[in-house]
Order: sequence, then C-alpha cells, then structure tokens
Amino acid sequence: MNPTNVSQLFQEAALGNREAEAKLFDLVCQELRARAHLLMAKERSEHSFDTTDLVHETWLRLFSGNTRGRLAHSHFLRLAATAMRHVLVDHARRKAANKRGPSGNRIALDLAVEGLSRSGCDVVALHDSLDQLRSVDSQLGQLVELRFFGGATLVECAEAMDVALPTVERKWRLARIWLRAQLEP
Amino acid sequence: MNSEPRLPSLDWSTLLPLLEDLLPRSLEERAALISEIRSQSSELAERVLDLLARESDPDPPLLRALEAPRFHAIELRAIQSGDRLGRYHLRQVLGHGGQGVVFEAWDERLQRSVAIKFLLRSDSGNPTFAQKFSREVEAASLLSHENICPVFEGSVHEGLPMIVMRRLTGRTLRQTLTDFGSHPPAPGERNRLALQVGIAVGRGLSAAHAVGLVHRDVKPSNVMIAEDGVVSILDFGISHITQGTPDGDIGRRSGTPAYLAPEQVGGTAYAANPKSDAHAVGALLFEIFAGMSPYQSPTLEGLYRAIQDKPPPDLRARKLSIPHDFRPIIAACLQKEPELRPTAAFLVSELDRIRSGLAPLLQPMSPLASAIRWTKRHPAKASLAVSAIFSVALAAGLASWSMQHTKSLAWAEQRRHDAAVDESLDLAFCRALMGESTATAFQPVFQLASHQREAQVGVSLLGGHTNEGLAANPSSSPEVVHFEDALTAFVLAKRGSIAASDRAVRASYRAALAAEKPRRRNLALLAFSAELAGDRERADQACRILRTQWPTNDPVVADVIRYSSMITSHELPPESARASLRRARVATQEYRPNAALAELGPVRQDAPLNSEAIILHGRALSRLTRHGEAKTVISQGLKEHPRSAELRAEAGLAAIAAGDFPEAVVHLRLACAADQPAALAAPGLAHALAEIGRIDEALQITSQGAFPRSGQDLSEIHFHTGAVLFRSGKIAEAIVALRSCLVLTPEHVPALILLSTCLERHGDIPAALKAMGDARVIASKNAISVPDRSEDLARLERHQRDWAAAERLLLDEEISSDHAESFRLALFTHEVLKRPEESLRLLLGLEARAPSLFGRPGHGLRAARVAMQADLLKKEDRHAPVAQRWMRVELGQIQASLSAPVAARRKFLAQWHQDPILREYQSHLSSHYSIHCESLDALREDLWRAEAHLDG
Repeated sequence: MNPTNVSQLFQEAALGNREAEAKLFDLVCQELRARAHLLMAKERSEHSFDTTDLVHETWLRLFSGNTRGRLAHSHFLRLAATAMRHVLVDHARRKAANKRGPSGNRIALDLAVEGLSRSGCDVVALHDSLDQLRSVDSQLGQLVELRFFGGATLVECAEAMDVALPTVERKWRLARIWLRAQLEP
Repeated sequence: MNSEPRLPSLDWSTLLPLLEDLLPRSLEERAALISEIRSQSSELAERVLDLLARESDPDPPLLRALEAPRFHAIELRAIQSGDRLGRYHLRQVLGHGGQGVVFEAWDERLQRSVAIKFLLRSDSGNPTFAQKFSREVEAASLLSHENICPVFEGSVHEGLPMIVMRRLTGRTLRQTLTDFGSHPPAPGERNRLALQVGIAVGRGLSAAHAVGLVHRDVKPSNVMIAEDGVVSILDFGISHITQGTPDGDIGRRSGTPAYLAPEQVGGTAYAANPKSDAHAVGALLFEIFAGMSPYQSPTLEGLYRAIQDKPPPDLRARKLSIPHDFRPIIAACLQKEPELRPTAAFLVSELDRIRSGLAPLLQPMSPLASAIRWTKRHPAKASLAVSAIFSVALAAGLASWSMQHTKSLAWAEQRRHDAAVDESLDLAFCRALMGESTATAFQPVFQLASHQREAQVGVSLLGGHTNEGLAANPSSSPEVVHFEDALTAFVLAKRGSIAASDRAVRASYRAALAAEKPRRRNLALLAFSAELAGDRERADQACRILRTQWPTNDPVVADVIRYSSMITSHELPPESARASLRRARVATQEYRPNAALAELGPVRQDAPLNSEAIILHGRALSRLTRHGEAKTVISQGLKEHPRSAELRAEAGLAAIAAGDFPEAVVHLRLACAADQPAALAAPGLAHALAEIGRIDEALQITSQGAFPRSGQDLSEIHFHTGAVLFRSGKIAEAIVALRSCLVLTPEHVPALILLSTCLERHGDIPAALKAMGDARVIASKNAISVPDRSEDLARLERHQRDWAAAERLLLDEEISSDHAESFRLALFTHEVLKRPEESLRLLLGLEARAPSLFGRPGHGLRAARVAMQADLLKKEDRHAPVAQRWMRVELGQIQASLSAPVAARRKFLAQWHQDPILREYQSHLSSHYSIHCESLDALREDLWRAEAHLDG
C-alpha cells in the first residue's frame, strides 16, 4: 500500500472528488477484508464484538502516522464504518447462502457475525433496518453506523458528523432506544 | 433477531420525532404529552411508553460493549510525529503491530535517540495502573545485558501507557524469516542464522532467568538483529503487561500465540517459567529451518489445543530441513513437560558445541520413546531424559542395528557425562557452602547439565532467594530427597532456627550414608551442620570419612575440613541469642540501626566472636554516624578473623561512611583480592575510588557487575553504584541507580540525601526537596543524626518558590510588570531547572517589553547562553542571531559605561571570551557550516578588540 497514493486519494476525496472517494472506499473495504483474513480469530467472550479492532488496524495500516489531524481521522472513520458494515453484511449474506456449513477456515468476520447473532443480532436484518432509519433520520443513522460498526466514541462521532458533542449525546440516547428495539423486539 | 415483534411493527418515522421531543422533558411534562398522544392513538402512546420504560432496563450485552470505554482511537490521534511528550520529541513511526505503535523519539534530557512503544489497549481507567505499570517497567529496566534491549522507563501519558527503550536499528527476525520466504537463502545461511540467534537469545534469557525474570513472549517479532549482527530481545519482562492485565487474566492477546509453551496456554498468565522461554526458542529455531512455526491451526482454539496436546512434529521429516545436529536440542526445547526442557544456559552451550563442530551432548530420541514419553506424561528423573528413553527402548526390545550402535556409544558418553555432572555438583556445593557466591560456584554445573534440579535448589537456598525451606521433589531419587532436605535444614539453622539445626544433622547424616559412596557434598553438609549444632562427634566422623575416601591432595576436601573447624571458632551464640541475631539482621535490612543495636547487645555479649554479629554491629554504628565506635568494633573483629573478606569489606564501607576514602580503598582492595570476595567489596571500592577522583577506574569496576547474595546486598550495590555515577557526572543514571536502591530499601537515608543532590543538579527541584524532606523525617524517626543540611534545605526551598513562580510565569504567558524579577526567573528556568527552551521563550517575551534588561552587567551573556544551549541540545543554529544580539547589547553597555572600573570590565570581557558554552557553540556552528558562524566570529573579535581597547 503506497502511502503517498492513499494520502493523495484521501485529500482529493476530502475536497469532494467523488471518484477518489469511491476508490478510497473500495480500498478500505479491501483492506478490512484482508485484515480479517490475516488476523487470527480472536478470542471472544460473549459480549465483545470487535470489528473495532479491524477498523483500528486498518487505520494504522493505511495511514501509519502520515496523515495528520482530526479531520483525516474523522473522514476515515465515516468511510470505514460504512465499509465495515458492507463487508460484514456481505459476508453474512454469503454465509447464509452457503448452506453447506462452515468451510473450515474461519476468520474474524465469521466470528464477528456469529458473535453478533449469539447476542441476538442478525447483521443482515440490522443492515436493512439501518437503511430504513437513515431515510427517517439520516443523522441518527449515521451515528448508529459510526458507533456500531466503526467503534467510534461519542467524541469521534461528534467530529465525524460535524456536530456539537451535546447534540451527539442527545441523539445517542435516542439511538440506544432504537438499537434496543432492534436487538430485543 | 426475531421477526415477530410483540407489538405491531414500529413506525419509526413517527416515533423518533416524538421520542426526541419527550426525552429531555421532566416527568410531568412527559405525562401531559403522552396523554395528548393517547387522544390521537392509544397504540402509539403504548408504544412510546414501552420504549421509554425499557430505557431503564439493564443494557443488552451489545449495548454494554458499545458503551465500554475505548481509549485507543482518541489517543491514537493524540500521538503523532512531531509531538512532544515531556522530554521526548516524537519523530517518525517505526512500526505498528497489534499491541501498539512504536515511535522513534529524541530524548532532550539525555540527548539520545530512543524508541517509544505506546500500548493501545489497557485498563488505563484503573487508578493504580500507572503506578503498577511504572514499577513493572522499572524491574525490567534493571536488566543489563548485551542481548537484551534496554528498557529505560515506563510511564502513563494522559491515560496512554508508554515504554521508552533503546532505539535499535536493524531488522526483526520476523522480517528476516519473511524474506527467506520470498528469497530462499543460500545454503548454510539458515544454520548461521540459527546459531547467531539461538546463542544470543539464549545468553540474554540466561542472564534474565538468573535474576528471576521470565520473558513470556519470545517470538520472531521480538528478536532484533542489528546491522552489526548483535541480536537483542525486545519487550523483556513487560510482555505480561502488553498481553493483558497483570492480575492473571490473559485478556486479549495480540499477535500469534504460536510460540507459547503448553503451560502458558493452559494456565494463568503467571504459569510462565524460564522453561517456557526455552520452548519459545525451540519454536524459533524450528521456524528458521522449516519456514513455519511448529504448531499451526486456522483458529485460535485449534492452535491452543495443538500446543497443549499435539506432539511436536517429527524433526526428521525431510521437508522441514532441520539439520541433524540441531534436532536433539530443538526436540528438547519443544517438550511438553517444562522439566524436560533445557535451561537457557544449556541451550547456549549446546549451540556453541554445534558451532565449534563438536558433537552435541544431547542424543536424538527414538520416535517410539518419544511417543511413550508423551502418552505417559509423567515427570522425568532429575537427569537427562535420554537414559530413561534408552532403558525403555531396551525393554521394548527394539534392536535395529543403527539404534544399537548409537545406543552403546551414547551409553558410554552418558555415563561419562553423569560422572562429570556429579563431580561438578560436589565442587559447586562445597564452594557455595563455604561462602562463595552461588553464581560463580554453580556456573560450571549449569554449563554441563540441562536442568540440574539439585543445582537449582542449591542456587535458590544458598543464594538466599527463598525465605523458607523448599519442598523436595518427591519423584527425585531418595538420595537427592535426603540431600535437599538436609540442605534446607542447614540453611534454616544458619538463619537461627534452633529446631532446624538438630534436624539438619539428622537429615545430613541420612543423606551422607544413603549412597554407596558418600558424596563430598553430603559429607560437607554433615560436617557443617554438626558443627552448627555443636555435635562434635558427627562432625569428626564426617571429616574422617572425607580424609579416608579421598586422596590427600584433593583441594576441596582439604578446604572443607579446614572450614568445618573454623565454624566452631565463630562460636554460635546460645539459642536465645540466635533469635536476636535474626531480628538484628531484619532491622539492618530495613535500615533501622537503633533497633539492630538493641538486638545485638545480648548477642555480642554471649558470642563475642560471631563474625556476622560483628558486621551488623559495625554497620549499625556506622549508620548512626558513630564512626569511631564502628571502626573500633570492626578492627577488633578483624583481629579475631583476619582472613574474613566480609569483615574487611565492612571496614572499608565504614570508612566510606566516615568519609575516610583513602583508608576505605585500602581495606576494600584487600577485600576484593580474597579468594571469596564479599559481595559489596567491588561496588564499595568503586565508590571510594570515585570519591578520591579515580573516576575511570571506578567506572571500570562498576561495569564488571556484581554478585549480590541477598536483597540487602543488591540495595547497597545500587547505592554505591549511584555514588560512582554521581561523581562521574552521569546524573541521570545516578538517579536511576539510587531509585533502585530505594525501591528495595525505602528508608535508606544516605541514598535519599544523595538522590536529593542529584535531583537538584538535574533540575527537578520539587523531587529534590521531597527526597531531602523524606530523609530528614526518617532520620529523626530513627534518631540518626544527619549532617547539617540546613543550607541546602534553605536553598532548595528558595528554589522551590522560584520554581513555582517560574511555572506560573510560563503558564500565564503574561509577563508581569516586574520585569527584573521575570528576567531572574527566566534565567532560573535555564540555570537551575535545565529547561532552555522554556527559558528562551520567556526571555524573548521579555526582550519585547524591556530590552534594556539585557544590557545590565552579566545579563546579556547569561541570556545568550540560554539560546546557545537550546541550539546545542537540538544541534541547530536557529537561535544564533538572538544569542549574538543579546551579547552585543551587553557589550555595548560595557563599552559605553565609564563608571565601572577598567579592571572589572576587562575581567568581564575575558570571562566572556573564555566562556565554555560560547566556545562549544562556536565549534558547533563551524562544524555544521552554519551561516551564523561568521557573525559569531565577528562577535568574538569585537570582544577582543574591546578588551584591548581597555588596556590601551
């Protein structure tokens, strides 16, 4: 991964270049998948769900200290959260289609999906609901995506969404109610 | 997720705005709003109420996980190249892995390049974590060996733990191995690498194991091969911090566990022992040849299971390409049972043998034997496993010709080896029992024998590493059990346990006679135990056997006999006094000299010749600064025991405390020259030499290391080393050494005082004051008189006030109206607190407001020094114009001023001209071809001219 290319793409995407943004998105998805393959499946206790690690390590790998500043990280986080969500859902769908059961090489994505379903969350269903949520309240949808798939803290969400922290805190309270309803209908 | 909701499907487009409106309101308002909603749709109202009610339910696990504090993302952004963390200036990122990010950084205080590893996962919310973390790292930092990457400091920066270590350039073993994957190496290259890495890592591990530190996480990414070929182990002793919480819960692991030993996988984080490290080294060597780790599995659970249960791969398989010579040692390292694995020292010796072309001592195991061993899984005898293997093989009737051939050869070799080990054990024990340091005494044994339990027990007990006895391993042979029992009893008896001395005699007697031919070590033990207990008969019997069974010129026997008669001359105190002696020992350890004196009273009366009592007595008196008495006591003792190196050393140490350094040198040189030098002789000598100005010699002695026999020894060694470092100008290192002393003995008054001086010199005023204050409190608590330091204390307190004022000034960024005072504080910030950058900032601020200040006598030069120092530290020339400017301001004043006497002005100028900082700065500029060089030259010429002008 040529670091200068990535920074360039990043800068262009930040300036609004759609093509660059799309390329960057693909890159991030690719990287997430690659990382998930490389990572030895991590030990999971029932309640830990850590695509955050994936996102985090992808950040490190792609940007290893080259890009400075909060802006870059926020931008990345937005991208990565969405990417993570797509990668996970993709994977879940593929697994569901493959009726023959697990094919031996379980990877982090498998465990993430399994972990989620054990905690009562069907990724695909969540994904669909999230799409619906976005159409009702896009800010809320983005917040859930950032936090749930990107593992962002509230502070990071505030920056990534470019709103004040108290707003995010308020919205998060709402989001929790929504999430709870999805997890425990 | 269930697709059958309890209530009809939710219409979020209606619900969300409602909820958003309701949430911030009070309960009454909510109630009102909800009844309004109810009038429109009772269903909707129910739904809203239900959702709101559930808010106070316990969170489902996923939500809980989301809300759990996460640190890494924020802190990651907070840490970037170019940041400054206190004295560290972060440069480029060196690398990142699962555990965290490693930066290169510049340490401004010590002016060196370091590497800083930031741990991104931690329970840094825990308040005591920072303390614990620092202490753990401090313990690891006491390791010093050329194959271990030194760790300097561990601290927690805004919740983020960081470890500062030496910057190493080179590649990790992991990188080298990956390269092998893509570019297969030349033939013989793997052998070379295996030997290079194995020997170096083995040596480093061996040194660490000797002081009780286990690495726990040896793996290719933790082994660094420098450009000059030196191999270092990284992350020593701190891997259990980086792996998980120190409280035993492994938590999340980062990186692969493929090199872990079975007991590490199955047990808690503290199941790791030195043999676990040996396992990892075996895995490393395996991978160097085979290109993969010995155990593989796509899942973590699978890997754990493989490590614990699956037998190691057959090393003879062709595709693994493991050379014949390496197979036995790798196989031994990969054993499931820790006891069957070699020690690090043995590993090194085997690899050395391979390198020199000698046959390794370990013999290959037959697959049947290893299979049997693995299924039975009971601990082996305390000797090489090979003999057991071969007897099993014999019994099973295996008899291929090549097996037979190797068997008989191996058998003879085996017997010879056993005999050699036995002999060396005898010698080692006898020496150690007679007082030689366990490290030197047992070294030959460890070089020969894999995991000699007897030797390990000996080191443990005689080296003073355990406080109680040791439970003998029941599966050892009866003879060994007896011996260990007897040894334990003897050690306890020496420490004053009355019951133990009788038990010691009985047990030793049993042990001595248990073998067909009694071993020297058993007889020596019997003789000494008997003497301790006053059983003359048994003692004589032991000596008689020694004399008759061994040739007269056997040096060990002669020594043992002589030593045993010497024990009586020490005149063991009667039973009541033994307890007092023990209490005196403890009081000395804890630096309570008055208590020690009180306990020693009866002992000195009843057993005036007991040399240990004399030493403790002298030391206590010395600590109470009753130097004359101390000297008398010790010299009397020396008359009775002229050959006692311990007493001689104590005389030297007392002389140091009294300030009589030349005399100390004399005593300590003698103490060092003895056959069995005292533990503190060398460090004390170094200290005394440093005090009389022979710094080089002192440093050389310090670098040779020391062999402490107890925690107290170690503490004193740190103290003396600290003194040497202080005298040689290495203030920062002196501070570390003194702090190490204080970790072990928190109430060590001289160490505290010296530490205070060092801290002051270093610029850390508050800490210096605290240390001084602590020293005084402890001294008065123990009624020790401390040399009058009221002047120092007053000065420190003044500095403390100034420091506080300077800090405020720096924070406020608002120069107060009292410019002269601010100027003084600015200079203080540089000259005392050693912070040139901040001082410079203040001065520049002042220049804008009150430029005339720089014209006052002496001010210009002092201010210029600040600028120059700031540049010198960073090897820059940014501030040259500023420095020059200030000096010119003052120069101008001097030239213009007619009121000051000529002589004074001339002296002033000459002083400037010869100022060492100015000179250093000039040579710094010229060696870097700075454009400012010329202007500085011009300045100096002007100084000359001005001086000459005054003359003329």
